[in-house]
Amino acid sequence: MHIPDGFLSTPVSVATYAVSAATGGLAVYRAKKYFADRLVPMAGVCAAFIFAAQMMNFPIGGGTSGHFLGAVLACVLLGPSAGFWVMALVLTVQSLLFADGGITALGANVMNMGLIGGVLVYFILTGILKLFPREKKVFIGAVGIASWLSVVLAAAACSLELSVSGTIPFRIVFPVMTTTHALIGVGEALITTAVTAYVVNARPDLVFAWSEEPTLGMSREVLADG
Amino acid sequence: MGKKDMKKKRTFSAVVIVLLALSAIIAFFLSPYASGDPDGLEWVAELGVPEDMTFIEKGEEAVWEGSPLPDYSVPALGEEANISVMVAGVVGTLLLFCLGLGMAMILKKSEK
Repeated sequence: MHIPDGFLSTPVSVATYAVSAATGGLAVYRAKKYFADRLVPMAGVCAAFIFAAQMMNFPIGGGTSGHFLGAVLACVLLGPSAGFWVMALVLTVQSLLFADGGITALGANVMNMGLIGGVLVYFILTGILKLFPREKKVFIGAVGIASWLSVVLAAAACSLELSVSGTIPFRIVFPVMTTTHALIGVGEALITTAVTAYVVNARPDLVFAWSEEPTLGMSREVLADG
Repeated sequence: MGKKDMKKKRTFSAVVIVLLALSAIIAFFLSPYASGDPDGLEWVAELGVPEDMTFIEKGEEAVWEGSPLPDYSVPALGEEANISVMVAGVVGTLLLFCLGLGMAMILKKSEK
């Protein structure tokens, strides 16, 4: 759902750029506090995987396709701060080098797919995980559901921006955007679940949300074998 | 370094290599098979709204036309050729791996 140039009004472009920039600043501050050294290579892998997987449009019927988003995967593996920055990096490179997503819409795209689809959903996910026992199966399932939600919420935010921009009325665009992306979200959940299950079983300490998330009480050294 | 640390180091490299190789394989070998249908937003803008409300045409002019690999293709290799999207895909994947690494080195926890 990369918004091209021309879909958004100037005030919406400026406002969404401001929100994304502020989030980026806060994310740098938080990453300096929480983003562990050993996760550095995973950030490279994450950016590469999200870029590659986003190229693979899959048909969802009715002449429409969708592709992976990866924001929940990035936040779960790297934490919300570095996860946000990986999404911002992928979207910036796509916009500048691949002409995918407008430069004037980059702030909105980062806000929709990094902040709302990533960071916000990550906080919902960890808030809900607190209520459940710490089990890998529960964790993997919850991550999958969160990734579905992330695509739908990002699409909802996109609808709102389009309507505030005067491009299309909200009551028209919101139902079609969210239902289309509810289908695309199924693909998102399959991919996110598979990759999360692989990494959390192979190396649980490389999954930030499992091994480091401060609000989930991970300070109890349960890392490598947990 | 104990036995456990050695094993950890191996599985660490394995996870990184598996995911990076998977990304490169997707970008190079699978990208030509990606669906060419419009994505969710494009479809909505073109076909998903009443005919007098379509807005796809508003997005036809990019502010900047200088992207070196527009639409995931290498212009010198032709816009439609499979090899063009394969090369663009693998270049982007490796570039993002490097940029992601570099960015993470800046972002990481400051040593105490």
